Amino acid sequence: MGLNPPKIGLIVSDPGDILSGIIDLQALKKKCEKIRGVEHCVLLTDFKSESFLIAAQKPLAEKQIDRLIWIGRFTVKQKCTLEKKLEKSGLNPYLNEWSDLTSQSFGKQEASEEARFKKALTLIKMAVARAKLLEPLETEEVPNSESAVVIGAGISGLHAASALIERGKQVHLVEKESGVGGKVGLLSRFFPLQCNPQCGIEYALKSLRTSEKLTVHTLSKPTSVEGTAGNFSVSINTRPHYVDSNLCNGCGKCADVCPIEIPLWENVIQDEPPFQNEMGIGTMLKETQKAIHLPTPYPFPETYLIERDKCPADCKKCLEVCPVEAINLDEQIDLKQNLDAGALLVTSGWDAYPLSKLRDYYGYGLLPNIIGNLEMEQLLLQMTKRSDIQLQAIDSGPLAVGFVQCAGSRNKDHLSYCSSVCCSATIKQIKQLKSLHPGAKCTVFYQDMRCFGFDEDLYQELKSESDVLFVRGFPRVNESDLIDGKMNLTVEDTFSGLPVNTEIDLLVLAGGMQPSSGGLEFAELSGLPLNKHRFFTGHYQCYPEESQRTGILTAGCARGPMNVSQSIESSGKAAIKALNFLESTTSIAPTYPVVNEAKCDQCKRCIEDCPYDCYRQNEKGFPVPDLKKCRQCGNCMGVCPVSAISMNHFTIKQLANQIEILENSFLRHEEPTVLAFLCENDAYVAACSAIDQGLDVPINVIQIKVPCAGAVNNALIADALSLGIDGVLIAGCKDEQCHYVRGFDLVQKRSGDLGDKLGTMMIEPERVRSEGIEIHESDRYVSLLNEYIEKLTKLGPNPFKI
Amino acid sequence: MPPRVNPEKCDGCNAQEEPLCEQVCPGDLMTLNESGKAVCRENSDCWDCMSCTKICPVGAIETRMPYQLGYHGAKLIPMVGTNTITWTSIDINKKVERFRFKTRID
Amino acid sequence: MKEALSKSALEFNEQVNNSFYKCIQCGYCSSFCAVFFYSEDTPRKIIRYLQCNDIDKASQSPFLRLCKQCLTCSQVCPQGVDVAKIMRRLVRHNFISCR
Repeated sequence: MGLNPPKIGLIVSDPGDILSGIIDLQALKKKCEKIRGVEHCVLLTDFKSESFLIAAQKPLAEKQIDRLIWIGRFTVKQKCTLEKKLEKSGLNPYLNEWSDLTSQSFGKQEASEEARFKKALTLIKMAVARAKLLEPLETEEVPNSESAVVIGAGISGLHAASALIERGKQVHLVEKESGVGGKVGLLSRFFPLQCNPQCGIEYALKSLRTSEKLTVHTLSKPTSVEGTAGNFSVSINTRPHYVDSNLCNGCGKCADVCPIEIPLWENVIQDEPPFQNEMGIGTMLKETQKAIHLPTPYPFPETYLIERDKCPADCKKCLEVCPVEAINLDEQIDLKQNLDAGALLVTSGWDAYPLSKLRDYYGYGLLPNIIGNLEMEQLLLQMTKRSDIQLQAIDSGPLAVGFVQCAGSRNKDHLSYCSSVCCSATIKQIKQLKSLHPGAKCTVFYQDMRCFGFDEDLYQELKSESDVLFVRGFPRVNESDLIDGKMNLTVEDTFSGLPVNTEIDLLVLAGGMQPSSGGLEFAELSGLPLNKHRFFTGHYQCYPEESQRTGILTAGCARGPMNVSQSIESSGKAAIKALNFLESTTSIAPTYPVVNEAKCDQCKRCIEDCPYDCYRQNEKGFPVPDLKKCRQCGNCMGVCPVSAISMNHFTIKQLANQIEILENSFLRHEEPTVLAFLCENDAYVAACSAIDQGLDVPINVIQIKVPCAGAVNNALIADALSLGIDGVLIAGCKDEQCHYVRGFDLVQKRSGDLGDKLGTMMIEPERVRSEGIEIHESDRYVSLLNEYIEKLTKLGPNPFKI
Repeated sequence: MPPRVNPEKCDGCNAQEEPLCEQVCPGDLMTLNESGKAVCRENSDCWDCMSCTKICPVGAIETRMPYQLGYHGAKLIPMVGTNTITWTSIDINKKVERFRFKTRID
Repeated sequence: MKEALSKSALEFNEQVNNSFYKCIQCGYCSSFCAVFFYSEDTPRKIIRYLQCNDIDKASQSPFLRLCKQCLTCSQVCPQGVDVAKIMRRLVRHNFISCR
């Protein structure tokens, strides 16, 4: 405070006559003028926004007031305009204190006039105590890198990249395969329009092909991620292409002379290497490519590359024929580079669940005519491309194809979740198969057909066709069934309960989606948290695309099973969020946490418990928050055992001084007072709306808004109890709904520990209570308070009470 | 009498190399045992300053009263607030006295 | 569906940890069963009877005499229900209630 104690101006506004109905405002004004530090107090009679401004500007100029307390209800818009306009008159916006008396309860009729008056005065004194410690703060601007790194060039990655490039940002696209397109590049058709995905990829590439802002790094993997939002540094490792992409003109002469043919089926096989289903899809797919070939699955970038491990060391045919001398067969070292990025988009997609794990169920890999759904896609694609590939019925009858749904999904030993697209994909495959083989008989073995949304139309369309049979039940495949070439499947139709025998030429297993190996590697090196199914996790509903590391965004199937259109939508959302970190500077609200190094013991609890991994140690060993990562939830402030961390504008000291005012209770000695710390995301809103709805909120409670329940430090609760407050209630989000991941869990544990301590001190542990309250649970909040106060009355006053 | 650690509550300060009680002990007596719980190395050297009891963030440490001050069952329990410390003293007859002090002015 | 469970039925449910409520009626157990072709009832149906609290119908099913306890059903169940154990316990339950 120094030599010049702060001069505080009080402005009371009561437009709806809510306050004057409960308390004598004139008498309150007289009392307020006597509070130490208050130099000016005014009751507004005119409630236009201009008169607010005049009422504030006059004392600022005349009495050198340097802090303003606004008492009464103001809308957020009013607050913002007033703060902005007063900033022009020289008052820092963080020197305004808003004390909304109408959101505190003054009880119903039974509360005495005196208690109401005293409570109002206490609340104003609390506001003054806080206002005395307010500091002027300035918004900070931190420079950013204006390029983004997109990891994975599947359909989500391409769409995210093109969205960012449209906004004029530099994009690095990192892909582990030789070409873009990902899994969509292997598909034969999109549903529901049955159009070709190659055309969809081409559409996504339209803006990318001509852009100078895009750099594609194929055959590359990230090896480390350093830095924070706005300034990431990603090192990537690129395997040699053996063809100089700057020189190659894609003429294709090299591929004409190359003697090595590589079968293409390894791309689509739904198994873990070493692949065992060569006899299955390998005999059906005749497509091959040369050892020097265009990128797969989709030929972009349009320069050739060589699979050097497949081609003989002494063959130099391509080298001789290349007109631009782009080929260098001796290129050996991996290229390592560092990419600067403001934001990272992880669109690492999915891998097919290895169907060989289902060998006991369906004999995948044992019998040649059992294939996976991704293999079926490729088969259908080849059948449309080349007329010599045909499916043949084994005994010259009509072709019979079986489709098994949920192969490996919704099974506790395999994937416990539903992969959500396989049902629609199967229906799409049947439709295409029927267009190629009009006489084919299809049987779908299913458990539930989950065709979400408009895909139901396709399902109903197929159901009405006579040669498509839906059987609810799963078949058993025996090796011995394949004696005459046809598979004989036995299945219980669970609707009729009768056994059904089906003869099948080809069995397609609708395998599920699992997180891609590349995504898992990235999670390991970046420390991004995964959910229990090992997909990237965020707040599933409110900000699904944000991971728990600020500046790293996830989209598409990296986040969970999605179909193509959902992936594209999510990548758009992620790109929009990424733009925040790609502006030239980020402005950071000055309400970030600050570590008091004089108090800090370097116990590292803040580093451990920060939900966003913001803290790093500086050279002296003290924790320092990374302001760009920080979401200002205050959990570090709550967890610090020596209360060394304070959020600016919400410091421990401000809170402690506020609580100190409560030493003299506004109620009679035997009536309990309750201090409630309410999470601003839900519990506080519930409490305010309880008062707005006219519910009978007991007068005994003083409500303090906190950014997260996890921001409440045990020292503050200890303060409150030692000052004689009878009960402390901490209310936050229920269970695992906390917006800051586990703020409420932490506070529950801490208050439990404190409760145990109170027990040894011969104070009832029930005096500290943590509760989860949802935003609509105003009723529950009131009944919970009433019950709590009843209990506290029974316990008697806090032994520390004067 | 030496500090007694409740092993169920003690989390070894999340297996940091130096837990808070170890940092704060003036006699350098506290350390972590092989299961990662705090333990007093030399009971006879403890002079009951109660620093560890005050600092422990999970409230796992309790100091027993030396018998010169109080017999078995007597307790002295500190609770640390932001600028205050509260002492609860319980004697062998379960008589409770409570004191509150300002600790820091900053 | 019967409304209240008899004491013996409750005992039975406890013996199998009420695991049959986890069944989602997918039919894996039946299709993989070596003998279901020879009976009107199938393991899936028997579990359905149990879910409907009709333990008498379940325990008197002729299928129980066919069950060879090959344990295939328990192995293939995607929900981890020990179907073979339920069959075994049902035979025992029938035996006790007849006595």
